[in-house]
Amino acid sequence: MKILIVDDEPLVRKSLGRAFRAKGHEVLEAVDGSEGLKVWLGLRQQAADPDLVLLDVLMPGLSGPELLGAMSEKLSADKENGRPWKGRVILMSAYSGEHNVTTAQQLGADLFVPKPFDDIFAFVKTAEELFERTGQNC
Amino acid sequence: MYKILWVDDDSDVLDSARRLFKSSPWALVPVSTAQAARELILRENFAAIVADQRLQAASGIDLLEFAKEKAPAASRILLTGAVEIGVLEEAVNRGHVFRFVSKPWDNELLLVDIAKAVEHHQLKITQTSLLKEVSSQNKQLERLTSGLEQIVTERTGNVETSKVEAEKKLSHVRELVRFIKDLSMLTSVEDLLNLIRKELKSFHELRAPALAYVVADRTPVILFLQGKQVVEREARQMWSRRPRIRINELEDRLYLANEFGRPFVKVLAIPLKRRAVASDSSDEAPATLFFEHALPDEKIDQFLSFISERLQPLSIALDRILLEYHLKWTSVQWEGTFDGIKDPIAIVDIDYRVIRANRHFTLDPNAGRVFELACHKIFANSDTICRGCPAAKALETGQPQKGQIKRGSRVYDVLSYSIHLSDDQASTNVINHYVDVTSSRELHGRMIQSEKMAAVGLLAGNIAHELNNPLTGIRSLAQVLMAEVPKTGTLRDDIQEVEKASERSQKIIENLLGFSKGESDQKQVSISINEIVRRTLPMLKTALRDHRSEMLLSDDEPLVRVEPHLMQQVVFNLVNNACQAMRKTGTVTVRTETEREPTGLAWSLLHVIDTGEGIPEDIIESIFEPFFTTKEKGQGTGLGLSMSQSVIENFSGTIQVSSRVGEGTHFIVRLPVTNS
Repeated sequence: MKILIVDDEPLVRKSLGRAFRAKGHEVLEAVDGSEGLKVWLGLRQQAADPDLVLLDVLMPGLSGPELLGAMSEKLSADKENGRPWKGRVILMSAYSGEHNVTTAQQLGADLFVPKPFDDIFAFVKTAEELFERTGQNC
Repeated sequence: MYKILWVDDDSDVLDSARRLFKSSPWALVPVSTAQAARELILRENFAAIVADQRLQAASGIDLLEFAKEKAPAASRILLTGAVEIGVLEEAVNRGHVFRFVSKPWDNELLLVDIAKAVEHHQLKITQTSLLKEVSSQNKQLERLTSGLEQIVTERTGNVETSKVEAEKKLSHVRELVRFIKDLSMLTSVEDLLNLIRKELKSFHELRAPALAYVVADRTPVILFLQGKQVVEREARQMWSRRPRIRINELEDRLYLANEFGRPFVKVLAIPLKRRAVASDSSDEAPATLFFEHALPDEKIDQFLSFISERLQPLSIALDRILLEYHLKWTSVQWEGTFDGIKDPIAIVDIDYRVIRANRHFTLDPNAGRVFELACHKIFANSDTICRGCPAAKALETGQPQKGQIKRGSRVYDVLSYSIHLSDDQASTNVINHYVDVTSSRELHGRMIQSEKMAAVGLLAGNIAHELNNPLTGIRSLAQVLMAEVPKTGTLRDDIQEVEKASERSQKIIENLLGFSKGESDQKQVSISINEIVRRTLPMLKTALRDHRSEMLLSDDEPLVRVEPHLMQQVVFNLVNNACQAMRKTGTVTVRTETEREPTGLAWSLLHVIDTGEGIPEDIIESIFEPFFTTKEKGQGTGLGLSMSQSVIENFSGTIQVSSRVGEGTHFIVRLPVTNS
């Protein structure tokens, strides 16, 4: 599974990266929303789309929801050349009061996970399950 | 010059006598007849008369007898030719002859005899005049004596009458003095009226007096006797302003008729002179005594003079009484004013002694108004000056000062104003005004607290985000590392420490977040306190591990309206605090009960009691303040109790604390039982 982590907190990127890599996943990191969009677009251009995007809500520059918006724009533009994206998005936030699963889904994400995680491996498991449940292209 | 009368019918004798007397000191008056001699004796004074015994148509002795009678002072000398015993006898017996001179005479001897005769005459004259004088003096003396007696009698009479008069005057004066004395003892207008009546008892034709006067607040008042009772009431109208005594005047008769509703035929109106009465408006009618009377005209004068003498002391007495009334009235007014003020007020001197104070100054309802004790003793039952009292500073600076003191659990703002009686003297008294600010202070404290809470809430939201991000990384990384490092060894333990610390941090942040959300959740349900306690207990197992716990849950389980998880947090906080308050093994008692008021309201009570160290008095008021903690660093946020209070109050409940150092602390939570 190819995972793109977009979070401005280096430790979060690092720990998530290590946890997923430890499970044999491929991990790419972006330090903020803008870079996240750039990486995602780049991967898409190379037809190397990530299977999962872990997206922080509050980030300098482009926020998580904004990034989601830009992504869906790109995806609807790409509809004509018939290459949909099958990847999943998990929205993460430390500011849990603002978002929940429902609002996250309205924004185009698949799951919402509040930060901090009680157990990072539980989180990894959740992500894997989400991918397995819906993902065909491994 | 003495004259000598010589009577001889012999002209020769007279011639020789003339010659003899020429060189003598005497004047000779010679006559030849007894008749002529008698005439001369009657007309003139002679020192001596010399007569011949034998005169024509008369005897010398007869002449001398005549002379003795008519001019006794003249010495008589008889000239005789022949001396016969019979003649001698006769001369001596009848004529009281001084000398006999026989003819012819010896000139020298005769002159000696004449000289002796003159001397005898002188003697006799002197004697006579002396006698005369003595007798006249005697007479005068007699006169004087008798005059004196008369005077004495007169004087005695005078003295007696003046004594009576003096006594009369004296008793009159005494009466006046007594009257003035009586007046000076009076304390009320009623007594004054009674005294006047008593004083005028002797005038039977006078009816009881009525006194009209104006009191301090300018109300006209009429005072009169009804039987023995003195009645005072507001006058229906003003009486005459004229300041002189009036007899039977229509104006006064009309006034009294209007005042008493019956006719008055004869009236005496006696205005009392106004002097120092506080109200000095000149258009005010003077206090006036009215008498209805039946005095005959001649007695009116008597009465007027009687009353005139008493008018001045009467006026003065009435003035004094009215002035006293005024003072009393003013004083009562002030007292009423000060007592009407709910705040304690006291005038305190430089030694903190209370000079005057209002009713609210002392808590003792039986205490008087004037005290001799120190203000701190009376006000706060303290032997020392109240801490924070600004009185001394106010005295020192002469400026109003403000301070704050405590009386029991109440807090007072004290405003001290120094009293300046004169410009050149430093003031020695202050007025202390005590304002109970306990509730406003509490309110203020609450306000600050809720502001703090709001600030905390706001802050918590931000902190949650800012901290949660790195914390997520720290904790997650620690977990990742733990999975990667060998299962044994210090490295794993160290990483575990990091993981635990970050977990604790996470809890604190969660707390903060819960605190900031607090009211936003609307998931209130009806649940019993017992149920909340039961749900919370499992979470407290760790905390209660080292202590005994007693759960005394009430049999009935009334419902309260709360958010269960917030309420659980409150129970958790209280029990957790109780455990932490006990350094040694102790007992935590959790007890619930129901309190029913007569009004039908009911309260569900939760007691959490520990046997810990207790909370010192000086910080017990602060324990509900946000960020106040006595726990060691990192052990508490100082938000537990303030959050609990905020939660409970949000559910219309209260939380109270009482504590004894060394014995333990007792929290009581009260929540209203719901009707449903």
